[in-house]
Amino acid sequence: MTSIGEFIAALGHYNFLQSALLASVMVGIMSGIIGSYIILRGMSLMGDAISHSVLPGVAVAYMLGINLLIGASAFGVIAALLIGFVATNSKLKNDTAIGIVFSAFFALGFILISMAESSTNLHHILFGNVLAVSDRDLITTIIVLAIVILFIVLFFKELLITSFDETFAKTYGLKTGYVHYGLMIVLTLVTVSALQTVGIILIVAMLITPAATAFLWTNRLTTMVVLASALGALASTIGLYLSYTLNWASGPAIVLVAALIFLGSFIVSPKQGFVTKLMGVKNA
Amino acid sequence: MLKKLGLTAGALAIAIGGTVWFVQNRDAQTATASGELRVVTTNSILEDMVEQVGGDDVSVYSIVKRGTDPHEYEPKTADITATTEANVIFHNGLNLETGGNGWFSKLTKTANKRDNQEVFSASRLVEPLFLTSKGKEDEMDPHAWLDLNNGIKYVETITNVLKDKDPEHAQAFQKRSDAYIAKLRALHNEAKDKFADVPVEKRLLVTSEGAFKYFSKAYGIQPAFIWEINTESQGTPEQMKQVLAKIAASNVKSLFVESSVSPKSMEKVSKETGLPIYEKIYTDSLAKKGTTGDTYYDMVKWNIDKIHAGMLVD
Repeated sequence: MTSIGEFIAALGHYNFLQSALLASVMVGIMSGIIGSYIILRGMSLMGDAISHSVLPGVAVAYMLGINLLIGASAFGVIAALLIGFVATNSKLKNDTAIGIVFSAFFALGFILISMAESSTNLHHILFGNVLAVSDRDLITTIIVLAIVILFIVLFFKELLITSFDETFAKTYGLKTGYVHYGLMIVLTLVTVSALQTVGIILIVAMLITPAATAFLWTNRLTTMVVLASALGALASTIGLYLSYTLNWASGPAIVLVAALIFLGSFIVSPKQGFVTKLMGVKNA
Repeated sequence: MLKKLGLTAGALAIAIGGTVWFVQNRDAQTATASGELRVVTTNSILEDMVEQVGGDDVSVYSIVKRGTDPHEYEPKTADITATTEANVIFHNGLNLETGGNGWFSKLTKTANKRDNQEVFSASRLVEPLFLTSKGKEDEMDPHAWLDLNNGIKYVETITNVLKDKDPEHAQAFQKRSDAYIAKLRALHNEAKDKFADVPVEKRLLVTSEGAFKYFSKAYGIQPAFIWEINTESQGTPEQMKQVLAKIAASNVKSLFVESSVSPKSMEKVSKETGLPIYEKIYTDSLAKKGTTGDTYYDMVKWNIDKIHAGMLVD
């Protein structure tokens, strides 16, 4: 196994590694931020659904030769609208509506991808490869990160109130619908950026795991958002280091590191109280 | 609130500007150390050819590991570092490495290597055949190396590039190349007459992927396949129907399956027709080192011998 010193030397030497590190750290930060809101609003499953639902958008964007972000956002929002529509207009619960809509979108995406181009690689979209990030991808990613941060700063109060007490927000006169769909749009942008680092299947891990880890340590929203993005960036860096030294696929390496950080926090965090509880049992 | 927003916007503008500046101004890395010529090949067949010609005067790194499909591949970290450090990179060309969003062109771009400067297509001298499936008629069939005559052209291209890049060892390269080509040519001539003793209605080669077009043309047999080229749609009902009809119309007694393809679909055809899968043959990859079929010569010889024997089964 290569030492950390060698990894840093390689960072100075190889452009691809610099791009990979920058991209994965930026994706780690933005998914930590959005992920915090996703888990506070009890929308983890929704995050998974939206990330899968962008697949047909990616295919359509390939076919028409337009920017992936536009195609993906369109389908992400359509999926969010459809899920809302099915859930409010039937006796079905929300999770059932999510299951139906996102699997249908995912299936449609598969078929469109195979029609789009005989040699388009599904593998690449599903699992991502942070090692082939182009300069243009990097610039798109930093712009998305900027949009995410601006969105959070602009609508901080609205997001805070609707995340914790939707009924109160409604009586207060807030347009909860707008906040919800605004968040969905930003979520699809994050998803498309994360496509290149961890791929569609594992995006949900980047959204949820660092945010859930942060949740174990704090009760303050601001602290949680900052901590989640720091953990996302940390997991990305360590994951990339493991990918470089052990020749692992980069996306899964990042996700596994995030999960390990969660595991450690789960055991020792005071809020979870796993260790304190154990000790309490012993004392009693 | 406004002040906070302004501060955020300012910080973000600096971050974006910084990224753009960094991307445009960082140094493009180039191969550093001297010493023997470092060659990267996309697959094991090219790896073997370069080793035959280059001998101990070159070091070779092959990207797609033996037994895996080179159509679609995700480059790993080690592949990118090796490509960055390489003096010469050989790929098959003819659309073999264009799958997966064009992984190979992405890889060479990431590693800062240019076509015909460091990156060379081994199939440069080959006359391409095209796919026959509807809508794909203008796509080239990549499997040229299965015809030994094309393999010889690959070796010639490789020899010329190596001589060019390392003139000091040019004589040694040429000497090894001449001997190697003579060996390949002898096998080619032997194979050309080999299938004459198989009755025409049994000269049908059934494989999963339609990789044997060049081979069939060179050695006078007919190819049949489930799917024409490895992509996402392998073994669809329509494809199954077609291959079953083709088998029924012939008197073929054996099926073949490729080493780098899942045998599932061919097992289905075998069950459906009652014909046995005679043997595993090699298309996109050599066998693991130390086993039969681990060099280009052995692989083609194995293919020719087994296909011939399989066709003669009653």
